[in-house]
Amino acid sequence: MALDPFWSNLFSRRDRSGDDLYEILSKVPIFQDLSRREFERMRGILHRRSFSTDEAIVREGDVGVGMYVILSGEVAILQEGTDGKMIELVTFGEGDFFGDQVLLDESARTASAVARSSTRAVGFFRPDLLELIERNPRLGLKIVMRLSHMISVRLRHTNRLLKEARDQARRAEAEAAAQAEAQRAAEEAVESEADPESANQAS
Amino acid sequence: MGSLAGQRIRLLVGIAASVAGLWFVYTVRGILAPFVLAFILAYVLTPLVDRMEARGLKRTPSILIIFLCAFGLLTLGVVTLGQKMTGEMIDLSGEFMRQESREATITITNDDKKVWPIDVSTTSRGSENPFTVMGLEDGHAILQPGGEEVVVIRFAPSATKEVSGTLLVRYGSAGVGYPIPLMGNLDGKAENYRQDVPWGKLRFSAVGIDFGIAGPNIVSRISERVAEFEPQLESLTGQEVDLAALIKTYGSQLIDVLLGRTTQLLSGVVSGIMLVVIVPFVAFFFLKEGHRITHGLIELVPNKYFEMTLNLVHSINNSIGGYVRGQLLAVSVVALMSVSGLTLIEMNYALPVGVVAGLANMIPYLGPLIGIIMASAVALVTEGGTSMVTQVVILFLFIQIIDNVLVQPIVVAKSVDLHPLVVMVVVMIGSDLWGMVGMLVAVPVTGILKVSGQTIYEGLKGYRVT
Repeated sequence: MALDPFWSNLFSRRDRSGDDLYEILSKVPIFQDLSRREFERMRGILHRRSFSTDEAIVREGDVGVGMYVILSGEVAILQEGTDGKMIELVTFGEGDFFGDQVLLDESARTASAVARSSTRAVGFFRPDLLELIERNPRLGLKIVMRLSHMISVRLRHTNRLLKEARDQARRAEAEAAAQAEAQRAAEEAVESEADPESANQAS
Repeated sequence: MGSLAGQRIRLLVGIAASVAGLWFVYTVRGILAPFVLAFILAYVLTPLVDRMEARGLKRTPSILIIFLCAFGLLTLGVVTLGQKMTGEMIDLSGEFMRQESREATITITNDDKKVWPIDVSTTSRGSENPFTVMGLEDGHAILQPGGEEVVVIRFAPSATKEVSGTLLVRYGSAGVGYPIPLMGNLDGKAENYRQDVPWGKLRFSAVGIDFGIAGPNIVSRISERVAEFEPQLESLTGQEVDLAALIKTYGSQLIDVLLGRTTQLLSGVVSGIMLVVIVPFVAFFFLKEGHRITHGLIELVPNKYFEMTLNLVHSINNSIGGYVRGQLLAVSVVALMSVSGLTLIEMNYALPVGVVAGLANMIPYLGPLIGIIMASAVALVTEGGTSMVTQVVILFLFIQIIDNVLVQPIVVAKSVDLHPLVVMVVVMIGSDLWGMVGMLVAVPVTGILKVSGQTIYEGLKGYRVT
């Protein structure tokens, strides 16, 4: 068991010939436009990695290089809170992916990913994407278009959330204002009834 | 915990493999030159192959097409420029390596039973007589019966022109003489005239002497020219200067070193053929499989350092590619400018001098200086005037300005300033390891190492390396 990651990387035939890779990856949005043939070309530039339980896959703050698609196992996405405690955002399983945004820019990781169980994943990295664009622009473009599409969907989603939040905030503000107004009016009414002099002073 | 042990084992295996690899590289350094050249060639051609692949061609045919084109160009170049270049190179190296004088001996034996006094002298058909008899006082000797005299004749012409003369051996008071033809600078067609000839009462070991090529070389000519200025220098400094002798001694030593290396290289004709065969062969596989090789190697890196390594390897790859391609382009531009400029001012040996100046330009600080000094020396010696030297210096300064203002900023992506001292040391190491090839390869290899180091340093700053 101790040598497992070592040997599994070097000699495991299952990873190479197995079609589970295609099955899983073809469901990932970034690769879903690819034909079987194009996918075969991709095979050579993807990196297969194995992680053992509690091993970090990416660490928050490090320079991000690319994305991972989980083939098997479970991965927890963690973010450091302001108090220094790790907050678990989500747990990913087979077919899920993360880190796709750093394919477009060389930014720092915004969260850590830690394997919750023995995990196999496929990595797709920025330098390889750039090289792919150079050597096979048609294929590279397909992937970049998909990436952009995902970003745009996410942006639209964020926009909608933002709009909703803004509307909600405005509504809450208006409500609060109305409430305050009503309260003041009520208070005034009560006070003027009870003590007209002090009410005049207050206004 | 288990994975940690696995990673430690991987790390240990990695370190052990690196050490073993370095040791291996050191032991086989003798045959490494073609691989280094192939590596550099692969870097030069990668963008071309990538571009062709992007156009829809498969990688292998792309590489083959490029190789065929390169081979065609090379053949064309060898047929047209190459012959001129090698011819001029040989002439020029002749100028450097030529011996100033040559000596030959002839043995005169007295077959008679009488004692014969002999009188040996030389004549020449030219205006000056480059043949002198050495060792005999006034050319006189007395031959006992059965005795012999070994006469040494020196051939020291002031120019490498074809000369012929006669060695006249008179004996007795009657002045009967035997003429023996002397020849020099017959364009390398040295023939052997040695044979034992009985000729009356005396016997000679040769019927004629061919001295081969001799004449003043570049060093002696430079020191001669310097000697002309010495009186002025002495009056200027008030001290006795013997610059000419200094140049002669150290210049000869330098030429001995260069000559030794060159003959070393030329003697390795087999390695030359190996270069021609092995370099394209290895470069082909670097071009075809390079991506897969790096991919496979990166795969072996432990998870903890995986992303960092991947990023660094690609950055280094880009830096080296930029550096190598930039240097090659810069060398080509400077060589082209030098050759055309020198041809324009009608200097001798424009082609080899320009090409060497271009190559030397790879070396920071020292390179341009080497180019100017070498070209000036050649101009001084072959043209015999200082006006050509002035033109050469002006031309090279002009080229340097263009190179530094236009070529370097555009072409060389990342400035790799190697310290002159470092350059000197690595050039010496290179020459020690691989002779001339090593001297040529030393600077770009050091540049590559420095670029890699810089990239690693800059890259690591983005990671928390523990």
